[in-house]
Amino acid sequence: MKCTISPQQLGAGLSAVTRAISSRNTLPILSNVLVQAREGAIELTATNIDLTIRHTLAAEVQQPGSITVPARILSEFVSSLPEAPLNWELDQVHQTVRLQSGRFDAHIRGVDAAEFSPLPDVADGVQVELDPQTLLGAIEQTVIAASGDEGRPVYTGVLAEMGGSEITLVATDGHRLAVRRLLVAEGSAGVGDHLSVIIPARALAELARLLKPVLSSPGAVTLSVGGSRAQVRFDLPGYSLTSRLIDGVYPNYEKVIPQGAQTTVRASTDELRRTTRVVSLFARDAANVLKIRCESSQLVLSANTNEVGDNVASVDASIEGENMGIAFNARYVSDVLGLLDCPEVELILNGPLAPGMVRAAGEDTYRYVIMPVRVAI
Amino acid sequence: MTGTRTILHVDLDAFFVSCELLRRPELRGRPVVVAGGGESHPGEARSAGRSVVSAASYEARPSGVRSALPLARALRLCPQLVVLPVDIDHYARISKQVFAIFQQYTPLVEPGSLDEAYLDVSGSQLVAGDGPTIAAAIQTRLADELGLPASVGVASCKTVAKVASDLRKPRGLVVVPPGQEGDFLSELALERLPGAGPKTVARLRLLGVTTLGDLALLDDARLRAVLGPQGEQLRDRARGHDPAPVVPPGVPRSLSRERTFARDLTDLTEAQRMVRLLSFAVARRLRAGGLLAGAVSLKARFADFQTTTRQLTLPRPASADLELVAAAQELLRRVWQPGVRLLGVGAEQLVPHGQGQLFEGPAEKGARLDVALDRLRDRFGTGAIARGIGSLGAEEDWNRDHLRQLGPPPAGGGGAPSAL
Repeated sequence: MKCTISPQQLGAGLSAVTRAISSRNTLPILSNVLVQAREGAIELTATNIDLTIRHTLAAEVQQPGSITVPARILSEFVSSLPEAPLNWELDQVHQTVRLQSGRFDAHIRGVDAAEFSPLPDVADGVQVELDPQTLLGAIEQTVIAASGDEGRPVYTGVLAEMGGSEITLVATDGHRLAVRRLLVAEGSAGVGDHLSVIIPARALAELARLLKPVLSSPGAVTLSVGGSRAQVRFDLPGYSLTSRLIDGVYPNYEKVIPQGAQTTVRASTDELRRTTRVVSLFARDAANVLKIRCESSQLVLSANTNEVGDNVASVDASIEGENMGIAFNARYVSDVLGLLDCPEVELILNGPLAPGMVRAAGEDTYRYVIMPVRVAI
Repeated sequence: MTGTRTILHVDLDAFFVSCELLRRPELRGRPVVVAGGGESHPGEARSAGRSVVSAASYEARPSGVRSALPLARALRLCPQLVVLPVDIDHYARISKQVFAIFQQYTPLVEPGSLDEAYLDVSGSQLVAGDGPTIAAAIQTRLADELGLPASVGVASCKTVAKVASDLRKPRGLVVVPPGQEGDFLSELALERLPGAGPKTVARLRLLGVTTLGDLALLDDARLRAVLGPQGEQLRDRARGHDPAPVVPPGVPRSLSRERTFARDLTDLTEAQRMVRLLSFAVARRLRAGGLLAGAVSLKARFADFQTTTRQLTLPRPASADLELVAAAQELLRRVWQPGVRLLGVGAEQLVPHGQGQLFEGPAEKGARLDVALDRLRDRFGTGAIARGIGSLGAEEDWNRDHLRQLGPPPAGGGGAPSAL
């Protein structure tokens, strides 16, 4: 194995794939990155078994081959180098990589590529193509509602329901729920039979990170679910991300989405976002309580914390139906307002104890449901 | 904070009577009193002779009937008087609705008792208008939505707001503009000042001080001679200076029940049963107060008077019977040794609100059962219903629970239960 590569490009690729490496892994080989050189390109792969990220970058390959190298020392060394071509040469007998660039000459001991766990298989499955920009938006609008609590595994995932040309992403932590519908990319085949999988939110968050820099490059994202329904893979320009799927029964989320509306509020998204942020500064105790009152033509937001102080502010709004008051965790409200880019936002409420819904006015592509906080008055 | 504060003192007119008239409208316009059955001792028959007037309608007042008057005398003064018994639960329920209206104008509501409160609306001007506007709006809403008359005083401090609300009852609205507090108070009699009791007033009279204006002008030496170190504060208030803030009631930090046994417990099953009952009692108190416990504690005193207290943090704040019991039983298991003379179960790290769950799990179902059981007990008494593992009426002899307040206790509360 022998090749020449730009240290900047290699460094960027390493920092993207090594995010799959867990700091708590128990198998030493999982701290290594797999480097495979073939005609005109090298591939970098890192994994923690659950999540695998692979990056392909152009290189001048004189002799193909593969090796695994401790990711940390390789990244640190490569990213410290000045911009000058990096020559990479593997001493097959000693499994040692010689890295030579400008006046630096380093040797890093590697481990045979055969020891590296094989890339999970997604053959014989379902494949659809998605527009990267749409997918990125849908991921950002849903992963925020997923839970970090490993005690309830399905809550740490995002449910992807696929059927025909439509996909619905759903996430919840039991207190709030985000539901986003999207269509497969134009020209893509649809999903034949209805298919539901639960993708770890962490994997989707990593995918979003990979998507941002490639939004401008042409090409769709391909989503593949393996025939055994155990793995999902996303292929995008330069990268592929493979993740284990979460096994479990997702709660019946449709049941908690409000159907009618006792009170419908419309307000400027910007104004409500800004006001919520300022008032929330005073929601400092465990439950972050933000109180909202709908009164004739305004929303009155208030928060108070005994040791801190209080804040009251109003936002102009159109209110249909009953005047009422409700309390939410302020973070759940500001989270969703930060993800909406519509001029007008709609709040659908059914009394102080029933779930409330936030969405772009008159639209149901994205729905965000919040369970209120019970406040003793 | 800079600038002038705007404080409202809202005082419901003849509140107990007003509450009774809501369900007995035919009594409107007649002289009515609500009279307590006298603080009769257990076992002693309730006698009309011991009853005291708790509240009197404005129709009864011209004949001299007022609150705190013995009922027998009130009846002599006004023989056609309609006498109704006190139903504090009814008034407390209505009081909750009253405070819910207050809360819509400011979170800074300090209850004085069931029927009066201070509201600091300094920060509500942009949203709801200035002090007099809010005062009028509250009066209108209390009248229209609840059918209750109220008097309101608006001023820059609590003392002046309270004096103002008292001045033109019933249905009075008295506004004291900033800067005019001293003038407003000066002509008023000493007794009008909250905190000026009969003894203080009598002493000041001896000095020829009869109005608040006189008190405001009293020099330091004489002030101290008559009233001691407290005098200065009283004089400040007579001048209309009162920096005391409006303090919403604090959430208690913990809540507990304990019991000492006639003979030491040596049987674990028996101890477990006690812990269960104590936990149920604590859980019910939590729910009644709209509180959730972040942790549960268990106190055990052994035969040798050694006392151990252990605490367990709950996975999430709870007030459900079974969640509290489970934690308390786990703690009992850790400290158990035969020969226990006292057991106590406490709810710690209390929070006044709970994040609702979108998807109903076993905990939410349990919580609904608790609420249903509480409702039955509220209606038919504590002994009306119990879980199969509980026992009927067993809560009677618990020791009083300890409540530690975070904030200062409500001012002028006179021991009345807080409506919040």
